[in-house]
Amino acid sequence: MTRDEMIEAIAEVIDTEATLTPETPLESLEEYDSVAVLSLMSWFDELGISVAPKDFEGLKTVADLLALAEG
Amino acid sequence: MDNVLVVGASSGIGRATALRLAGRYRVFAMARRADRLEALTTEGIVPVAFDVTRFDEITPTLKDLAKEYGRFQALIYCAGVQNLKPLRMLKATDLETIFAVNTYAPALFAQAFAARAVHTKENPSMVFVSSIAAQRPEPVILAYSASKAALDNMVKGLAKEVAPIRVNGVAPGFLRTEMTKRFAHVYDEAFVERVEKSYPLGLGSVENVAALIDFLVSDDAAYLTGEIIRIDGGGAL
Repeated sequence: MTRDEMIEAIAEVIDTEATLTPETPLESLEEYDSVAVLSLMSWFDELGISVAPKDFEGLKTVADLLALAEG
Repeated sequence: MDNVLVVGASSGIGRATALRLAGRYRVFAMARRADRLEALTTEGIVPVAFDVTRFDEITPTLKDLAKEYGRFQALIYCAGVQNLKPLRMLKATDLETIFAVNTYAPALFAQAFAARAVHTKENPSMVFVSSIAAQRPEPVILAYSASKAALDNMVKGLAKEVAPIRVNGVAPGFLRTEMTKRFAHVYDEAFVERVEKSYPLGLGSVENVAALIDFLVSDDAAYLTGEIIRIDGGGAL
């Protein structure tokens, strides 16, 4: 999956209509809440990436989510 | 000594129930993995390796057991699966897996137990382990809650259809079990602490639920059927 495809998938998983870029601050997305985090965890799990809620603490941008997905 | 069959006996409520009844009943403990039942054999419990999703084999298996060891006074169905998925991540396969174990298999075990060749004439009964989530669904466990709500409904329908076999359910609140420990990232210490504070009687144990099941299969409950008894320390109040 390319970086652009990953960003597109993230937007779908957290169900946002905002146009995401690596620089998009997560706090600017009203959809980024605890359910979004659980959704992202399910998605990471499907990709074979094991993450815990604490791994999401301190993440500031979409680029941080990409870094988490890339291990 | 009467025979009882505990389905899903390798851990949690099923295991606690098998251990509690052992000695007073001849307990047949069923689980998918035989190796996980070995520790129970020292208590005189008979292990039965069986995957509850082998739907077509449920009735023949129970008939064979009854033929070989005698009929069963009680069927206690404790097997259950859960996952934590927000609606948008839920897939048809998640629903299939959860309903297979939590709803379809108990219906087919009930069918098997209701066969004349399988249950005793004296005080035959079935008990199914439901959950308070059946009546109080929560986010991210929609499939689990719905599967248990279907089970609750089935308990009542079965109680009418298969009388004089008694059919009851137990609906525990949150418990620390292997099933919930699998989701320790969500059911973490902070969550457990919140539960402990919000339940008037604090956090319960699988042994509390086993004690209620013990009562439900006993002669003392001989006039009780079609009930799903909440056992959550008052958590749902």
